[in-house]
Amino acid sequence: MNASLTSLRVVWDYIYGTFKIRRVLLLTVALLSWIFTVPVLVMLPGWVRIDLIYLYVGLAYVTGFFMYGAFRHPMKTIFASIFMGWKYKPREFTPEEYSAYGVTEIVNTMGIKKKVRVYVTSNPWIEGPFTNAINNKVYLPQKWTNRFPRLDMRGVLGHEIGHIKTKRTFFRDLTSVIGGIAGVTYLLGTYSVSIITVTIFEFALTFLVLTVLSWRNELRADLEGAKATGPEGLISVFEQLRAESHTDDPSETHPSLSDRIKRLTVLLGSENHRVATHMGRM
Amino acid sequence: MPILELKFIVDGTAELMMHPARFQILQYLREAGEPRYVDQIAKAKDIHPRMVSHHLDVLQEQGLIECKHELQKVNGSNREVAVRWSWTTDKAEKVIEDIRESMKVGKDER
Repeated sequence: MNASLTSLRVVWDYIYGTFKIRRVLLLTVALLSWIFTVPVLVMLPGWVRIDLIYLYVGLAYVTGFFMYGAFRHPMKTIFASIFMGWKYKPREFTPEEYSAYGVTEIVNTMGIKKKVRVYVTSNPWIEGPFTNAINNKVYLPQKWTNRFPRLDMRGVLGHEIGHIKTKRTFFRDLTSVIGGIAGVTYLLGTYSVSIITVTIFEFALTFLVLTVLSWRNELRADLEGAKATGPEGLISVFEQLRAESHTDDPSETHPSLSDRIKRLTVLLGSENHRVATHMGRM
Repeated sequence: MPILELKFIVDGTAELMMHPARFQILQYLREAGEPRYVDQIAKAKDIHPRMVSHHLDVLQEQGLIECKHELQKVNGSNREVAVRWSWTTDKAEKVIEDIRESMKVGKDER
């Protein structure tokens, strides 16, 4: 499992394992904007650049269009929680719910020292559970707590609390990547003549890299959750979601359900996780 | 019958059986008509034994099946191992009846 979380493997899965025309186009935009336009700009006289601006705007539009398609679900969740939060104020788990779902056990098993709070929201715009890893708060949509049994939701909680456990690694990766891209952008900006070329390059590269980081982050949270609660609950929820949606399409933020089920199923054979599962149910 | 009068549809119990594996396990136990243990279910339905145990836990928590643990020699083994026997309850039958009824209502409405 750890081996399959390495960056190269996730990048490989991302580009080749789950082929999508959107990704190929983005890669093409990123490469073309650097390989072709920069030398062309250096060679051509100044007045041509005005025409090229239209090309750049077109490329930026295409990239933006695909970004919207890719990130609309997480954006919807973020905007819904910010702008609709006053209307659908989430309620915190009762002490009985904390106990029934074994939140404290999960937190202790993961070795998280800070208090983790779990909230239930009836906001209809929020379609899935999410975590604010900065203030250690987990939000579950009421429709999920109603439709999935407690034992399945324990797996979901394990995954969400796993995001809190792995937040340092995620932020470290994120900082390195953003720093790296900023450095490359600075170099390109220094040695090329068009800031628009650099912007498009940065835009497309950031998009691709963030997606790979997000996938790794999700897989890492799956692993941490499975270690604490056992992989059964999460597998069960993924199987049900896959059966209901009749699709297995990965998003830019999450790997495909089948891929995640496959990785979690490997853990079913591990005795350590069996012990963790039974401890969690005591 | 109006769908709102179908108790197990309204309280969400029927939705638990929308999970493909859980539905298969429950159907298998109903058709068997007698208790079955985890490995038997796992082999018959090609589901990992730990997933079978998990689904049995869920079904048991909802009162759709009952379980009993027994020490027994299985698969020609010389030593006894703990075996979990499971069988369906009357509630499971009523839930399936409600699902059938709701499907009829759905068809009529269409």
